[in-house]
Amino acid sequence: MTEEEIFSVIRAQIVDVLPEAADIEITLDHSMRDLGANSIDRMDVVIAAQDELGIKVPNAELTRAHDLRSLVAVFLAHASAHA
Amino acid sequence: MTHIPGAVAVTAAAVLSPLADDLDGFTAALLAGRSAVTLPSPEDSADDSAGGEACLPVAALDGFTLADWAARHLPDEPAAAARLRKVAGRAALPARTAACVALRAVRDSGLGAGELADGTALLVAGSNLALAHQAETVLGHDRAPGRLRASYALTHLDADVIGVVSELTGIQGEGWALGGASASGTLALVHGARTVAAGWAERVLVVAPAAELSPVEAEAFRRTGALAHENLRGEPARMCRPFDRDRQGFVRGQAAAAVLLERPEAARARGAEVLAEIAGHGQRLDARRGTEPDAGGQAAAMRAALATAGLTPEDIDYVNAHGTGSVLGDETEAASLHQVFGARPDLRVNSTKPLTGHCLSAAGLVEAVATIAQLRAQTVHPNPNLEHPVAELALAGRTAERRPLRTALSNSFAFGGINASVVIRVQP
Repeated sequence: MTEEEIFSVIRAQIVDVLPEAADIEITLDHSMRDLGANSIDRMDVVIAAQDELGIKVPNAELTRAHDLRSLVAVFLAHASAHA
Repeated sequence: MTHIPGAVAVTAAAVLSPLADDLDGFTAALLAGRSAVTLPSPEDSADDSAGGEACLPVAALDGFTLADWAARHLPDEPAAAARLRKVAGRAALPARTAACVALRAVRDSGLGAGELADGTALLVAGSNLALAHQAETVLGHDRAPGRLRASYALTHLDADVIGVVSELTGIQGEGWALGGASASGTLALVHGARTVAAGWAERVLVVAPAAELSPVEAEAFRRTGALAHENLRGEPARMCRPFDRDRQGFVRGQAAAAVLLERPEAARARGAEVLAEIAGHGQRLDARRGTEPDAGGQAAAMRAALATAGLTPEDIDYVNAHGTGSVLGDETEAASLHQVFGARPDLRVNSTKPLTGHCLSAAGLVEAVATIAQLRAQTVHPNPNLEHPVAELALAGRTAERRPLRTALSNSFAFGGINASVVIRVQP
C-alpha cells in the first residue's frame, strides 16, 4: 500500500462526507477541520477509509494526526506494521 | 364554558409531495384529482422474495434529491444551496424533506433573521421518523460492522430534524418533536396554535417531515389487513378509495409540509399575507390501546375543536376527513361525522389520501395545507375513486366543485385511540 493510494481513499471519503470539498483541490497540507468537517464528520471519514483500506487503527494513534499528511502517515505505518 | 383562545394566522404553507413541491402545484394537482399512487414493480421492491404480492402501492417521493430541490427553489442562491447540502446532505430522508419545506415556508413568510432567532419556536411532527434509515444501517452493520458511520449516532434521532431545521432557518426559540402516530401533524398544529395563542412564542414553525417505513413496518401493516394491496393492481391510482363500497385499506404516501403560525395582529402589523387562520382545535383519547377506531372519541375531538373556535356544526362548510380508505375506519368516521353534522346537504366531505396516499405522521399537516389550498381556491377537490358511496354524507363527487367555502374542519385519527381535529378558516 502506497502513500498515494491511502491519500486517494481518504480524499474520496472526504468528498463523500463533505460534498462542498469536491470543488477544492485537497492536499496533504489540509486538515479535515480546514475543509469544514466537524468531529463526527472526521470520524465518518476515518472509519470509512479504514474499512476500505482493510486496516484498524486504534483511536489513540489517530489522535496524533493533525492534518492529512500525518493521517496518511499513521495509516501507512499501521498498514506496514501489519503487512 | 369553553375558553375561546383566539385564532392564529397561517402566514406560510409549504409542501413537498409526489404531486408537487410547491403550494400552487399542489393546489392544481388536488383540484385536478390527480393521484400520485403507483405500484412499484417487483424489481424495484426491497423485498422480492415473495414475488409480486409483496409489492405494495405507494405514493412515494421517488427521485427526490436536495440538489434538484435547490435547483428549483434556490436557483440564484448558490450559497444557500450549498448550506442546505452541507447541513442536511447526509441526514435521513425525514430531515432532508423537513429542511426543504422549512426553508420554503420561512422564505415565503417574509420573516427576517432577527425574528427567526428571537421569538420563533419550532415544532417537528412525528416520532420514530427514520425507520428505513435505521433498518438499512442495522442490516448493513450485520454485513460489514466496520462501515458503521459515527454520524448514525445523530441521524437515527428525530431530534436530528430539529437540529437540521434550526441550523438552516436560524430559529433559536423552543424546539420540540411531537408524536402521535397518524395524528402527529395535526397534534403539532394544535400545539403550535396553542403556543402562539398563549404567548409562549411570538410565532411557531410547524414542520411535518416525510415519514419513512422499513419493509418490516410496511409488511406488518399489510398483515394487519389495513393496507390496500389486492384489488385494482392494474390501476394503482384507483386503489385508495375512501368512503367507497370497494375500499380495501389505506395506501402509503410520503410528503412533507410546513406552516408558519403567528398572531393575526402581528402578521398584519408586519404586512404579511394571512393565508388562513387556525380557529379551533380539539384532541380526545379513546382510553383504548389498539388500531380500532371509535366514533365517540372522534366526535368528541370534532366537538372540542368547534367549541374552542366558538362555532357550531352549521358553521362548517367543508370537512377534510381522515378518510384512509380503511374498511372499518371510514365506516367509523362516517358515523362520527353523522353524529356531529347530521345529514346536512350543504356540507362537503372529501379525503386527500386517494391523491397523496396516507402520509402517516405528516398526514395531518399535509391535509391542513390541502384544506387551506381548497379554501383559498373556493373549490373542493374531487374524491376521484368514489364510485359507490357507502356513507349518508355529503361527500364531494368525482370532479372538483366550486362553492363558497369559509370554514373547514380537518380530522386526523391515529392508532392508540388518538383523535384530533382543527378548524381552519379564511377571511372572505
